[in-house]
Amino acid sequence: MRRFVWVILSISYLSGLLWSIDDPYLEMSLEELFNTNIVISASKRPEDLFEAPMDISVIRKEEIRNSGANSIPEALKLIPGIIVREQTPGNYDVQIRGFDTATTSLMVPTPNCSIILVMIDDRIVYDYFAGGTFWEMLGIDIEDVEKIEVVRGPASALYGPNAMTGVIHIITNTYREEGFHLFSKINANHVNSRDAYMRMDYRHFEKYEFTFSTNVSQQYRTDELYFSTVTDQYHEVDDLSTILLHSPEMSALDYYGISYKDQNLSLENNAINMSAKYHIDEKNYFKFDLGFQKSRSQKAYYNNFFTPLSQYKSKGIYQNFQMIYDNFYFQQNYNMGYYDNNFYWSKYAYVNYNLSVEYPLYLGKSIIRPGYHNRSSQYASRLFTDVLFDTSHDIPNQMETITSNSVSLLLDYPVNQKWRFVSGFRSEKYNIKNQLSNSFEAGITYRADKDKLFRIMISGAERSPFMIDAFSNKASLMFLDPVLTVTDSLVGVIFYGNKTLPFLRNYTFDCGVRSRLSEKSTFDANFFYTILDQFSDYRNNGYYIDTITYGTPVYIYPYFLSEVKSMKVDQTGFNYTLNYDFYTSLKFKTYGMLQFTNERIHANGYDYVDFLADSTPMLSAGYTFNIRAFSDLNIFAQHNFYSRQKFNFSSLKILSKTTIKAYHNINLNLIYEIDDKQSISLYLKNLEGKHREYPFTDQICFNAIMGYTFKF
Amino acid sequence: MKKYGWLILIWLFFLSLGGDNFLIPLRIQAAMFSKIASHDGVLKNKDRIRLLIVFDKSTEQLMKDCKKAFAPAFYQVGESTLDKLSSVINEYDIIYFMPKLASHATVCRKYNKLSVACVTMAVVNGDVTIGLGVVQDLPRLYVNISNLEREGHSLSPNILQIAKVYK
Repeated sequence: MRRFVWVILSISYLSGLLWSIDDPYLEMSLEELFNTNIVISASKRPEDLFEAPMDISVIRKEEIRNSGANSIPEALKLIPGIIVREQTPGNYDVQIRGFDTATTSLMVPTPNCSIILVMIDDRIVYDYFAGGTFWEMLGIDIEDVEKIEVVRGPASALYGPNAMTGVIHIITNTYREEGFHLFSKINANHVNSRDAYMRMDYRHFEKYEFTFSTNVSQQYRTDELYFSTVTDQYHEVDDLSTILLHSPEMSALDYYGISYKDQNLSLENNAINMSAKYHIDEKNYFKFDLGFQKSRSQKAYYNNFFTPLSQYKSKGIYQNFQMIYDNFYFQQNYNMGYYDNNFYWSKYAYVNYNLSVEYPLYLGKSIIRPGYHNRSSQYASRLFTDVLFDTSHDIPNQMETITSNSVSLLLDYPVNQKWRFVSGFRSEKYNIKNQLSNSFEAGITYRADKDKLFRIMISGAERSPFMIDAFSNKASLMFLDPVLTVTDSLVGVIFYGNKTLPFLRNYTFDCGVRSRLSEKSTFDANFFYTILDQFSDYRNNGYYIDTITYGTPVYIYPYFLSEVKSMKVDQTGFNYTLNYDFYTSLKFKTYGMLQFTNERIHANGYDYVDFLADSTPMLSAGYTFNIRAFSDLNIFAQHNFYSRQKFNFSSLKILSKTTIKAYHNINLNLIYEIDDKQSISLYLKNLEGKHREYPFTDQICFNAIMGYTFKF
Repeated sequence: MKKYGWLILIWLFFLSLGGDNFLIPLRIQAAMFSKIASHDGVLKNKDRIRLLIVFDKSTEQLMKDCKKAFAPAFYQVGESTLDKLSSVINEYDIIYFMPKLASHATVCRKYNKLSVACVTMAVVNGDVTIGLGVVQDLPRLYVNISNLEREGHSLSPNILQIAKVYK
């Protein structure tokens, strides 16, 4: 490693001497200079997006609004390398570059990606119970979003653990005109779904900013079929056979008194967000945010093991304080609440706390940015108790805690106007194990001229430990048909956690080029190669003989221990974006990713296979046209394509297989501005008709959404 | 030895305080101000434009960074503290103020020098004539047209068209 750094430094230095050092910015016209995009995510200080050392894309409010996207995951479809699949209307699975089923526990599957890090204004919104981001719990509306910056590839050295395949950084409205403003929006579609949003903000003398926003949304399912793990086919609920025994009188949806508010509901959420900001001057500020959210989402997915319709209810509150003063960066935040997926086994309460302090130091041309970070995740769940076959549904009072203290160091060294060397390192120490979790990155950029930049980066990242892996304590899963007798129908398994599990890790090499092909077009392409290893999952380790719970006869249950697997997976791929502005009123963009995932080393000896390389689409690509017809009408057309995907669902010795055929996504959005204050829109979504995007879940249908916005 | 190690670290720490504190990277600022100068009625015919950086003790390190970044864009880049400004100001064409010192830019009116800074509020308040800010990730030009006249300068309509103009 040390040798590699020396080689990079030497090459950078010698290259700096050999090449000319004219500043590319001096070759640019004033118009080009004023079109320079200045971002902060890529190296944590303001820099030209074109010079960013990482593979990064940004989408802004204008493009999001023109596209008609009415949720954050939907807006992410406009970015290459991001795979967005709708599970039920309004509920999405989001992956960066894929590795889809590789990272969830195959024994305890969850439809969430646990290897991307999502942040809202630098605030991490990650769930540490089983890993992942619950998009319905974010609490912010798409109208709260100013821009979304996406970093593809490991970025844990900059942002902390779990940024393994990338970071999605959502930045909320940052720019306000002086005075009081109001923005409101209502949307409704032809299948009884609606949402509303309102924001009020006030800015006083460029010093004080106050924002209040609220949103409410209700969306309904458009499919009535459920997947049967017995037949591997989709059936109506009355014809459905599940993996569990149940009496003919019972519906497959009725187990353990699970109550659904409405089985047709797919998403219901409402939230309030407030923010106050004091600008000391143009760069330095104090900011305080507070928000509440409540959500209920339903997916046709066996997340609770019992019913083919999984229901997720949540309530949460967050607080965030952020300060920048003379380059000193401080952030502290809490988020707490509960999450309930209608089965006591994975119902939990949580309190997450984060603190971050960073201060850049300037040594000659170099910028060194040391940082200290502290995190505490406290979770309470019946899963962590040692009561075998506990029938209580309440969340216990006792919380289990994972804390981490970490230090980070970023180095940015511009060798000259053309060459730049960047590197970063972050080390985490967790309270539950002695081993350190380390992440790193090192890269070089070369700006050949004002229109071309080449970049090479190697990076590595690790995933944080989760509560479910570490603290499962004789957690039991019992299938008991309430109609039949105990003796006839009792089936159970027991889970044990393991605090010594190694961290899931990846190493990535990527290289890319950014180019302004002409005044009208820009091109960004990136090649990447990634290796993932140190997977873990539950493995059958023996049998537990229970003579206590139900007396005689004796019950024997298999027990499962969370342990590391020998599996190793790699991925080779390429992603690109090409923008071409025919005229200022006609803009074209195409983007895509081609990737090949391979299981290099197979994990033998597991009952519950299987990782499938084909679960990430080999090709995901799309293009958009934005046409400003007349001065009042905007037309946005979007066409996405995802190639075929294959999935396994393995649970409790039942292995189900399904294939998602290649599908298209065609959307058209029309916005007509009535006057300066009002506009109406018609968003025609999924023009290609009924299709399934995610395994075992609903088919997604055509949707016509009418919208009205009012602002002053 | 350990004691000296700590002393070196502390010395390096203080040496490294107060670096780049701008919303727009210095290299981009340098290119922008030099291009804007070529659209100024007085400066457009001058081959050799000299820029003076006004700093104080707290922005000394920042001034050094600015000098390095601005050097390729201007014929000469000088530096001055506020107390020596009036004695050297006549040797320069553009006076660049550190953000914290922008309120002192009114002195440029007396000497007919163009005052610039990477700030916006000082332009709105009428202290600095040309300022740079960032709005929705894009650099934005701010011009105080009354100040521009008072400093004896003028900008081409092309520039004023893309600028946010204050009186």
